[in-house]
Amino acid sequence: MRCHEVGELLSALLDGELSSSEEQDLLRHVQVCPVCSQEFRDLQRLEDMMSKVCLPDLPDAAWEEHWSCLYNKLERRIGYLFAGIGITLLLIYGFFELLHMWFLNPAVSLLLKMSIGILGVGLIILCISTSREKLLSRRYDRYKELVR
Amino acid sequence: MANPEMDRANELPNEQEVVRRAAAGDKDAFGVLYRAYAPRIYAVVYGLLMNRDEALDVTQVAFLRAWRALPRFQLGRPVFPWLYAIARNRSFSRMASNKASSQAVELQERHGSASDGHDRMVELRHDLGSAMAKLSLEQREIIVFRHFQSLSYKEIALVIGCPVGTVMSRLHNTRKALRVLMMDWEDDT
Ligand SMILES: [Zn+2]
Repeated sequence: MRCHEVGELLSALLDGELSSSEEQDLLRHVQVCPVCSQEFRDLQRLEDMMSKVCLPDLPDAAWEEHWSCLYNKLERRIGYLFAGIGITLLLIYGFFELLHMWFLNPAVSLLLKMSIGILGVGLIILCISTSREKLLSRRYDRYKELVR
Repeated sequence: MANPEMDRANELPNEQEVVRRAAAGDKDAFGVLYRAYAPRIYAVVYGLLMNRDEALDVTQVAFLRAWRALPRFQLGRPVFPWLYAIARNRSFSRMASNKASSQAVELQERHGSASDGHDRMVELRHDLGSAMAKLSLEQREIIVFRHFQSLSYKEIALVIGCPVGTVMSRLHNTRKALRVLMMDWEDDT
């Protein structure tokens, strides 16, 4: 084995990730090469430092609190879903009621029908436009997140 | 148990059964997944973002997304890499949009480690934490998985979705970078 072949294998040796034959090959070289053996000692020193520290953790009680917060959010999601379905159904019902009682009623003036009709069309266009914008920005966001 | 290599990335003993129940809408089963994996997800995300509040927020958002996506989860696959992929995406996009993050990773003394004396330990935690903050996200990620979660190369490859060879070279390069950043420390030991 030559020095230029050693490189990242030293890390793998340190982590016990080499097969026994790879390990023997590498150790044979490291034992006789001062450059690679110095590099291995440096890696070991870093490993030694890293083994003395760890990342901060949260107490179990904090996790329980966070879980109950998350649980409430999950539950509320179902609430929002049902409320959303209810509102949609009501709107559809209201629309047909309005159509039936108002637009098909000859007693209501044509001008009023027209203004309400135009207002309705305007609102529908605004609704479609904003939801399309939201959908597009969300799709862009997802695409950005997928980039590794 | 066919593959003992994967056990640490797949810690819950009856994981698939729990996932199946959670996917069917059982919130208590989802709670079991949360308790098993949220602390680990949080630890890695903290290592990436270096901010406790942000890390907690990302963990919670990731689990909310996971809950929504669970019905489409392919049963039989390990859950941790899937959960982590969601949290990882959030962390990376958050890091991209938020440059004003902390200057250091807050490290603690590991229990049972041979003590060098209090002052020396405080100094080591500070210097290593600052050095880690100078690494890239990918570098911090790999250090966290290898050193703080003790995952094997195969497990890391599975969790971050890259070949084992990439794990090996990225880890080695990261260690070389850390060694340079910790040069002063090594000199006075
Ligand atoms: Zn050599």
